[in-house]
Order: sequence, then C-alpha cells, then structure tokens
Amino acid sequence: MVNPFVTKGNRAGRRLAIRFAIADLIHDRLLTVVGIVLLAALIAPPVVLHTLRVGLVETWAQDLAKDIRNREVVIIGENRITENDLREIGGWSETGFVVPEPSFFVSTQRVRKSDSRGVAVDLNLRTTAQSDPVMAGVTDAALGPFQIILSDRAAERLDVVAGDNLTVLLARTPSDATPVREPVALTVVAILPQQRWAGTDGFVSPQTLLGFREWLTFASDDPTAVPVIDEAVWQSLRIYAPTVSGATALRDKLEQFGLETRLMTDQVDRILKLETGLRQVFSIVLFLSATAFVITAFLLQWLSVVRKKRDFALMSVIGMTPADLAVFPSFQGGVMTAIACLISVVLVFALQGPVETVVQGYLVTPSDVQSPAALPFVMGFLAAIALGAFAGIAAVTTLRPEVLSIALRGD
Amino acid sequence: MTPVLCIKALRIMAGEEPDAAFQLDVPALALDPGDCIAVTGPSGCGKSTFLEVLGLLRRPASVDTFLVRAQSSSDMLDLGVSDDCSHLRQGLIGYVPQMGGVLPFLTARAQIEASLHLAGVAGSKDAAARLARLADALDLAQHLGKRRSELSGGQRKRVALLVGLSVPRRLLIADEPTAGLDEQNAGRVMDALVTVAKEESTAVVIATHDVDAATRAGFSIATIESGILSAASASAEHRKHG
Repeated sequence: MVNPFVTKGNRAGRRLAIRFAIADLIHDRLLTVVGIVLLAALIAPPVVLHTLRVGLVETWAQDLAKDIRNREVVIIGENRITENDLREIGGWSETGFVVPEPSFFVSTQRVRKSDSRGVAVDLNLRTTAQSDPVMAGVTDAALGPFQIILSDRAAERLDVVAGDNLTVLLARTPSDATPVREPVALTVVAILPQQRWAGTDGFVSPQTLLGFREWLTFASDDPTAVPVIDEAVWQSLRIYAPTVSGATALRDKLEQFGLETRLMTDQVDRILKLETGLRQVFSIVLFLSATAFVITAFLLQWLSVVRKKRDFALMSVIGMTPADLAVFPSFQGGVMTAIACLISVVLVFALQGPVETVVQGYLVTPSDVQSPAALPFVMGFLAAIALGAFAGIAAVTTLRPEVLSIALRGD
Repeated sequence: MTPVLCIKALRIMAGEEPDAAFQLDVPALALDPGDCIAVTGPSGCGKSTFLEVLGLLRRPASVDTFLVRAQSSSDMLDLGVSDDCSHLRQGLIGYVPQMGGVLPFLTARAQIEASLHLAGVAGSKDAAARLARLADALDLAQHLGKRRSELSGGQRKRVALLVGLSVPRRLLIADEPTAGLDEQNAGRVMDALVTVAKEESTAVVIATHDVDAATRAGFSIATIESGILSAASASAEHRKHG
C-alpha cells in the first residue's frame, strides 16, 4: 500500500542541496582543492600524453609522409635489370613509380655551365620519366633527350637557371691512347626546389644516360645518338611506393625479386613505430588513469559522505529527502571533476607553445602542428563528470536511516 | 478534537531478537494539539530512540497504529506503511537533535531560511516576524549571522531549536533541549516550546532528565520504565496543568 501523502522530494529540496553543496565546497576549501588536484592528477596524464602524441608524433609522421623521398626504396649495388624485369616491377601494385638507372660510372659526370669558365661540378645524373612523383608540379611532361632538371643545390653550384645550357664533359680512355673528351650540351628545363630534392643532382631521360653509356663503353662514337631502349640492361632503379606506408611492402617485394635494398623511409618507420608505441603507452596510461580515477572518485565521495554524515543527518532532519541528499555529493563530485578536467585543458593549452617550438624544428616543411580532435576530449570529460556525479550518488546510498540517526547522536 | 498523533502497540528494538540491546513498547499514545509531553527515564532506556521514531528518523520494529494529522487538513497520515517520510519533516513534524543541530557551512540564519524554504513559507512577512520573535525569546537575535564554529555550545543548542521552531508544525520533537544550558537559557527554551504549543496548537514532545523543570514549564511526564512508556494520562495531565 502506498501512502498518497508521501511524495519523493521536490525541486526546492534539490535546489537547496545544490546551494548547500556549493557552500560546503567553499567552507571546506582546503579539502576541495586537494580533491580537485587529486582528480586532475589522474585526468591530466592521458590528456597531456594524447596531446603530445598527436602534436609531436602525428605531425612529424604526416610531415614525413608528405615528403616523396620517404616513399623511395633505394637499390643497393649494381644489378642486371632487363626491360622485362622493369615491366614486371612496374606492374606490381606495390610500385608507385619506377625508372631504370645505369651504372654509377655512367651517372656521375663532370658538368659545367656552357659558354662560361665557371666551376665544373661532379653531378650525379639520375633518370626521370613521366609521372615521376619528384617532378610533380615542377614539370609534368617527360623530358626529351638532352634536357635536364637540376636540384636547387646543383643549380646554385653551377650558377644556372631554367633555360640555361650545361655541358657534360664525358671522358673515355681507350686502352692504347690518351683520354678522349666529348662535351655534350644539356638544356636546363626546370629547377627542383630544395624541399623536393636535397642532393646535388640532375635528372635526365633514361635515353640520354643510355646514349652516354654507349659512348663511354665504346659501343658508340656519338654520345648524342638516341639508342634503342627496348633491349637495354640496367644496373639500378629509382623506385617509389604509392604511399609511405607501402614502402616496406615494396622493399620486401624487391628483396624477394633478388635486389638488395634500403628504405629511405627508415625515419618514417621509426616515427610510425614510435607512434604505435606511444599509442600503446597511451592506452596503458588511459587504462591506469581511468581505473585510478574511478577508484579515487568513489573513495573521495565515500570519505566525504562518511566525514559529513552528521551534516547529512541534519539535512535530513530539516526535511530533505534521500533524493535531495543524493544531489549534494553528486553535485560536488561533478563540479570537482569538471574543474579537474578544466585544469587538464589549461595544461594542454599551456603545452601548445613548447610543442609547436619543438615540432617546427623537426619539420621539413613548416606546417601547422596537429591538434587532437576536441570530440573525444569532450566525450571523455563528460563521462568523467558523470562518473564523478555517480560516485556521489553511490556514496550517499550508504547513508541508511539508522546511520543517520546514529550520526545525529554524535557532535 | 482530532488528535495530532495516535500510536498503538508500537515496539522499538535496537538490534535483532533475542540479543536486542533494548526493547521499548508504547502500548498507546495520543497527542492532541497543544499537548506538551516530557519523556523521562534513565539513560539508555530509549528516550532518544523513541523520539527518533516519532521524528520519522527511525522505523519501529512493529506498530499497529501510527497516525499523524496532516498539516493542512484533519486527514490522518498512516506512517506505518511508508518507507521514507523524510519530507514530512519539512513542515508537519519538527525534530531537534540532542547535540549540534547546526550545519557547519551555513550561518544560523541561512539554515533557518533553508528550513523555511523547504516548508514553503520563506519570504512571508508572517514567517519573518515569527522568526524575529522566536530569536528574541531564545536570545539569538545577535547571533543569526554566525556559523557553527563561531557559536558557543549553548548557542548552537538554541539555534538548533530555533531551526525546529521556525516553521509552524503539528508536532515538534526535541531531544533534551535544555541539556547543557544554564538555568536562564533552559528557562527560555522551555518557555519558547510551551508558547509555541499554546499559540500554534503544536504538540511538543521532549526527552529530558530534568523532570522538575519540565513539570514547572507545564509538560506532562511520560516515563519509560522496564521498557514500557507509560503515557496514558499525558493528555489529561497537561490539560490539568494548563
């Protein structure tokens, strides 16, 4: 049977409980501060670690991922790569771009700006072809014979700009004669920016280098003749994966193919491993912090309720219902947790400056430091506040009527 | 006249049978409006526990009839069937604990206002005038702005009583309201209780060891002896004194 005169609390009781809770937080300010600091000490570590992970590692990783050179798999040593091999390798899904390269003795040549007494530079001549990711945005067309694209550093050393001519000073020594020199003119069609290519290199078409090789190996007397490329055998490749994360798979594939390789992406690999490691550390810290937070939130509220059970008894005496009483610690738990979350956010903002400084120092191209998405933080904070409030409700359920009446007897 | 409180065959036990620390039986108790009863008996006989049951802070072990007259009508509320009646202390029933009674984080005035707020009478001129009158009667007018830590033991005791008295009620229960007070303040407290009983038809139940003071003030005496509260003549006794 339910007594129709008995109702369960009212809004006045809830409002009063909130007023009391605020007054008590201020009155017991030292304990309030201790509680908030304790909660903040548990909430802040995963928040700060997540911000650092995103700010430092993800920004680095994205910066390195943007750098095309990190997609390259470097072929070590001299190999024998036929046109058939080249077609097969080019057909792999792991291959983003591939262009054949001749032997080192062909690709390293002394070069000078034409019509000048400028300094001669030992230039590393690399090959390029259409769709070369290194050339993206610099030149989209395939290079013709005797055209060259220079790296910024090479252009600076040779003192040339796009449109200037270079002279390649080819030299071969017959076994029974003095060295023969053969100048070959190349036209500079573009300069690669420093961010795109850091070395002192020039890029020419495979045919150009093949022509040089024919002349250097006495297979031809005219280094400017364009040889038939279909039956050529190459010693190396310049090869790129479609993405940075695909570089490892391409390396494995090339090694299965019998080529010894080295990853330009080692740094990215390390960063990605670091990120994975930090993600695991973050998960562990999050788990430990969350567990400690739950225990601490419940203990704090339970201790608070035990310490203040006489106050709860007095609130009950003036007519506050159990539901009203539950508002008191749950409001306090929620407010203390909210302030602890706020402290964590302030810490994150305080970290923005130092993180920005550190990260920018490592970036190849200056870019905005990654900030963690706000939504997971908001969700996490709301969950923590709800848990803090629930801890208060759970704690107040220990106040059975007999506990309150006993509490009233003690001063 | 409709009684304020009607109890029959009420049993209070501390602990479980057969090892109960004590057992108190109240065969019958009826309080009319304006009745003043002082419950006496040796320490540990169950006076405070009985008052806690009347104040709805503790459930009796068993009861046949436990009726309280509603605040705004002559309807009787059956308290024997309700698990939680704490909201009835907002207005209908007032309870003043033996010790303390003042929240540490509020001033005396704020706690009284909270009590008025819960009773739904905050802000009214009548309530303010009544409060001022009671504060004067208890010599507390100068102390309402103080917190518990700033009040003496006697002042705390009177503030707690003032909180209980601040709302007009059907039934007011005070556990040893004069314990620890000097004679003058004890007299003020007893006068205030009797005045409220007479002027507002509030039934007042106190626990006390000072039978003489209670009798002088006009309280009927109900004694707990051998675990039984004998209060059959309480109402008649009071009317005789009155």
